Amino acid sequence: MNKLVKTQDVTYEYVRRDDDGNVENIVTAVDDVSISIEDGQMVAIIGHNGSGKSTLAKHLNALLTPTEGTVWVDGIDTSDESRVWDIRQKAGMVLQNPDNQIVGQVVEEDVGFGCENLGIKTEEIWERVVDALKSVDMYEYRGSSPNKLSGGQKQRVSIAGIIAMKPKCIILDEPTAMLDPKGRKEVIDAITRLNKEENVTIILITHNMEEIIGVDRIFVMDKGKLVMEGTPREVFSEVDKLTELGLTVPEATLIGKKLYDSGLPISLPVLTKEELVSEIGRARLSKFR
Amino acid sequence: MLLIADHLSYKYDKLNKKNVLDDVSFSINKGEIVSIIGHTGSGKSTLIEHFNALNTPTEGTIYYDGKDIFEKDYDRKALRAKVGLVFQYPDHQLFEETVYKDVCFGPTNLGLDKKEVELRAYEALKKVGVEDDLFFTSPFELSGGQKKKVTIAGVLAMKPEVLVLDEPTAGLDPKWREEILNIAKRLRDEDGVTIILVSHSMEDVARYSDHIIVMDHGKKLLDGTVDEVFEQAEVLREASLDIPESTAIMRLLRKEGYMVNTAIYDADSAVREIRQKIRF
Repeated sequence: MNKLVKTQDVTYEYVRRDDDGNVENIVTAVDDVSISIEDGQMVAIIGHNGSGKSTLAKHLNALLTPTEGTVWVDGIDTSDESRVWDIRQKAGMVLQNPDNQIVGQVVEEDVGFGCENLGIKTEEIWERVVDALKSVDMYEYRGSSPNKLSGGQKQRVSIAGIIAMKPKCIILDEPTAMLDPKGRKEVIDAITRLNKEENVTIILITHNMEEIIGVDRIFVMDKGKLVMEGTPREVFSEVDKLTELGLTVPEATLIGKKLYDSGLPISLPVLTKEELVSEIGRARLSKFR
Repeated sequence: MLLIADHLSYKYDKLNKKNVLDDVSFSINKGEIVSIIGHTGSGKSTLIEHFNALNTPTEGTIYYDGKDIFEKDYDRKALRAKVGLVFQYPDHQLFEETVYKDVCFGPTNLGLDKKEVELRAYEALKKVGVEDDLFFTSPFELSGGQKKKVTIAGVLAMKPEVLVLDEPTAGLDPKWREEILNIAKRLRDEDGVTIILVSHSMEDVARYSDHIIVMDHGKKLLDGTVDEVFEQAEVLREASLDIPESTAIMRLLRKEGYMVNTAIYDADSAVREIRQKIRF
């Protein structure tokens, strides 16, 4: 498969200065990270606050360029300044707070805004806006004012604005952190559908482990370094290690692990509620044998 | 009863003619940890802005300690020291050059002398666990979790009787979430501060509250203990909310015929219940 996003030995440092402009210290926010994400994958980046995950994510659409190492997005080196807009068209970013991302007075205007900046013809913009809104299930709100929408709806409008630019990849930095449970589910369902049905590559940053049970790959960051990488089943096998890193695991995974530690023959890791219930059933039967 | 909302209605949306708050009544006892949950736009933030008279109701009123806070000669300035609000975004609340100055701002405004102000600021920062070496850094250089602690200290320095926290853990990682919520719990346990918590995290709400008020489209939907509220899974889901994941797991076990208690809100209790009630 084609590597859509690739980082090679990426390090990002920034200098902290005091009030007089003297260098206080140098912070290494990302430390020698190499990852690759294939076209059409849905991946998650997790890590505690300050682990470097957002800084890494900002490299994936050239909001930041590495101090050392190289980032390629669809084969383009992000340090090539002349290609910055190509990169941002290929890899769009959705942020945590929906209120900071919406600019239009009407939903469909807001969604078309990015396309306008790309210099696309008006008729085509309208077509794209319609398709984008349908793809996140917000078409019926096209004429609404964004500030009348719920948090989950606003986030889906932000996602539609990026989809309208026909990106290959969407990076979402804690898109559900501000949302209520229903809003969270709407956003996760929308990006999962974009991934499965329209083959958009999804890079999701989140603290909510339940949201990433179904992704293809998880990258775990700590102190700027990539410390674990694997499928959800591989990563969530390491409950103790994740706990040490200040992270949690899905609730069913945690309960499964604790039941196993209490002596029950549960096969680990358990990822979903349904799996846990069937493992408990199996553990009961195995005793009667 | 420390705080009573009495048929509170608030209308700001003249176009929609919809009530942001619609005939909301409840009471909060001294020393309780009360959570207010509800979908975005359900009226939670507008509601808590009534608790210290930042908003004035269109109808109904609030009684604090037996007195109507919207009466003409009620001392609302004194009320704002007793009922402290910590807003969701620390960046909207922090503004001084140093952490210490920021925390001094509230008590200075109360007209206390310099010595008392400094003592209170120091105590408040210690109470929330801000290390001395951060006192003279700019609050804007701190991490999200540290900023949250400083905004809480800024309110604590006014020695409030009630601390209202609007989504204090949104965007924080699990470790910081727990740390912030434990500060709130400690303030209640050690100092008897009444805590009002607005949250979207069903897990946090279940673990820390004595009492939960559920809002839906400006109306009060449910009001009860943790068990009473999380028993109503369908009602909560209708209102864009949910039940904690552990509770959902216990309910699924129950559906499969295991006779387990479903009033379970964390992994350890779930494991204990499964080991006790299911014969392996």
